[in-house]
Amino acid sequence: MFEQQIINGLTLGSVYALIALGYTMVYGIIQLINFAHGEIYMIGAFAGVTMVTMLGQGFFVSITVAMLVCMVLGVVLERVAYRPLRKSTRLAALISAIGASIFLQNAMMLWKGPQPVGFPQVINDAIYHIGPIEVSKVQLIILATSAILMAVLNYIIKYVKIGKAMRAASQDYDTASLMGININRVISFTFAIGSALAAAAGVLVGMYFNSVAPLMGVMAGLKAFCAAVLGGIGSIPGAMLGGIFLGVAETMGIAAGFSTYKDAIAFTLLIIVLLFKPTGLLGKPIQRKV
Amino acid sequence: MNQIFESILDPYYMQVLTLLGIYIIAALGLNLITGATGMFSFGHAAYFAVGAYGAAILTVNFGFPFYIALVAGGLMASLAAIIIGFPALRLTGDYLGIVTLGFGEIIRVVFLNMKITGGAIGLSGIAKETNLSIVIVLVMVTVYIMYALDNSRFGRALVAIREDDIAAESMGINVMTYKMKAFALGCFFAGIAGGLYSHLILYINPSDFGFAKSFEFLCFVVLGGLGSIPGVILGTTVLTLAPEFLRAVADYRMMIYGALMVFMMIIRPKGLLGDVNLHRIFFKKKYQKQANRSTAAGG
Amino acid sequence: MSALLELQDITIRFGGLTAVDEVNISIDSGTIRALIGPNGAGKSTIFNIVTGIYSPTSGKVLFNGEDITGTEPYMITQKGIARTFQNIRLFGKMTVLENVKIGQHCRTKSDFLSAVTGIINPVVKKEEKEIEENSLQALEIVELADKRYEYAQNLSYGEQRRLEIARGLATNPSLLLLDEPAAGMNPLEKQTLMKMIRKIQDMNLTIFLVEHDMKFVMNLSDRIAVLDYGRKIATGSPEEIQKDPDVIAAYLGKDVD
Repeated sequence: MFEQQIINGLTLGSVYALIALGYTMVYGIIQLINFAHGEIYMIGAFAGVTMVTMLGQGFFVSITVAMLVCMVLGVVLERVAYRPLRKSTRLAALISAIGASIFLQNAMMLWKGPQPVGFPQVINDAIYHIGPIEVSKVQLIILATSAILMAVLNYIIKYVKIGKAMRAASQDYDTASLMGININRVISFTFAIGSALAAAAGVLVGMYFNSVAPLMGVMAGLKAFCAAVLGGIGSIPGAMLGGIFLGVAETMGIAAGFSTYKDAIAFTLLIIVLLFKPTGLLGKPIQRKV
Repeated sequence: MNQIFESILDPYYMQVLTLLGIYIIAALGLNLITGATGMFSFGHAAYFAVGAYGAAILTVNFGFPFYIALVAGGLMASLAAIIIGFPALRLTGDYLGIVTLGFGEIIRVVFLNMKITGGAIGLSGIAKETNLSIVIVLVMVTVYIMYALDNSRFGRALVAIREDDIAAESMGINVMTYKMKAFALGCFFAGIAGGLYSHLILYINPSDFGFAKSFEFLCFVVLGGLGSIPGVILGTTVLTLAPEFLRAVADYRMMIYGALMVFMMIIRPKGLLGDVNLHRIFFKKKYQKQANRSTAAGG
Repeated sequence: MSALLELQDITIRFGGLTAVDEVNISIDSGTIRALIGPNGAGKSTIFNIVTGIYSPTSGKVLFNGEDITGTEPYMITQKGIARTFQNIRLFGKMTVLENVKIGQHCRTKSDFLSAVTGIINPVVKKEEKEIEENSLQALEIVELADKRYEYAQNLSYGEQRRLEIARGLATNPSLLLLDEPAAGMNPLEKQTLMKMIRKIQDMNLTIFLVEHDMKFVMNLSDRIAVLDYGRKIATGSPEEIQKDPDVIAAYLGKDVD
């Protein structure tokens, strides 16, 4: 059932890709590993669940609201935890990110308890058969939503003014700020977009596995970060490629009987790629300057 | 000596203080890697785990005496570090960080799948060998070693690599070898700490040694003051004892702990004792005197 | 007199760009040799090849008659070649004295275990004392001994350049490479530096330097090699170089015939 695994892998991979985009965009501009990004994804999932269960909304409204909530959260996170440390060492900002991540996890646990919460069916799930392959409606929705979001992102980055400013800032932060680009606005915007994508991923995953949990962002965030590094951190197509690659590889690995090693697959792949191509699949090589 | 502690301290606080000492040893090891040599290591818990499992398996399954098992656990952690360092240390910065994190998770997953470690069920039946007095002695030995290294040819080479690896290499330092030595040595202390840990907690499980623990070690070091020995001790103490003091706020404990980390980092971005060289403060007079004398002689 | 350093047909390409093109340079022991040329001519690249940071695409580097092409930088330093950097590369958060002590690294032996036994081990104590004395000597040559407890990053620009020289000297080299040692110095500092370099030459060292300040180069060097677009266009004494039409063309533009 190779084809079947490809479909399952693509579904998982597109979710990794959505989360990885947030990591890569933030890293591209301020070289920060935003370790609280996994928590944004988790909160997005909870926002979706809340919309569905408490307010009885459908898929479209739920995912939109979750994205908006996380946009605000992402911007606030940057203002509070990262902006004051922008001129400090990377490790200082990293510790602040870890602190923020612990804070968000525990805030959610306080609210919803540590146990997983069920995600009610918002879509009447159906299974389609294409030859020997089974595709569920949820899978199709995940794939379609991810594709649309990535297309929108691509449009923003290429054609919208603020998106071009983002690209400029990630090419050369100092020059961009000298050219009159408002760096603070660009960074806020980057966090907003990245967080919205993560929230969408959270809702999609909640729908796929029918459950969300306060600690769901930890492993998913870490693996998505691996995907970003694997693809070449700072590179947007790299994050997409890395996410898909990782999702497919992990699904294949589990299908091949390595399920107890599931969490090691991502890291093993990452290490192998980095040893041969130290800046990731689509990353630019670093020059050793003397 | 332990009887004295037992008579004045509640068993619970004995346990907390012993654990604090164990974490100080591991954190000082990480400080040698990240603080002195400037190599990011986000997988320190894995070497802690190697020491914990290594020592425990030797005492439980093979009847080794505790101290020998402890040293063997440390050496096993060093060996793991050398095997991993060989490919990983060619990378630098965040890439090294993420690769060490990856190797750390792989080690954990391997422990999860091994028979001798008890897999997911964990390893139990470990005898209680660690106590507060042993840990205090070992903390003192570790602190002594760290200070001795600080003022030696070896330690200077590590700091030079952190400051500028190309210049260090051009001054005749074999950068790769020294990075390797620093990594293996730092992980040796993690391994020793791990061995002490498993003989204190008496039951270990792979989930105790995930990357969350690695980040905890990293927080001890960075929050205390990267590269500062008293800073690392202070950072470890504050973060290990903070949850105890926060018991009063019960449910909000971990939330406040997270917020506290953000807050402390923002007000002291270089760590609590970052940039504070106690040696210079204590021996200020000596430094000034020497400087004055040489100026007088020169002028 | 025998050649201490000999570059034979050195070529290096980065991608499509030939940064250094079949360059031959031979430096006699005990002399001061300058390497000049417009920006981007490949001067620093040659230094990086000599010190092993780059491996040449083709050609050989001979030091004391021994082929050292492609040897690791730290081993080249051990063999007796020291250098300074064009864009100063000091260990900023170490003191001046510690910076120079690093230079002594490759001439000493104590390692991790000896560090730990340092307080009781007379061998280590003696070595540490030697390191200190030798380092102070090097600092005295560049007149920085009284700043030894300052952090390197707090020194003035000119002092930092001199500290780099002291650090290089502490490796006990027979050949010292100075990459733009006078850059950013005022005329007075340059005068002092020139005296220092002569003093270093008198200690039986050979000096190979890259420098843009022509007055400095002409006054100091025994011989000069000129590089333009990666090619060596002239070699000779300062007087010969000043009269060389190719050199004048390279510096003033090709129209001069």
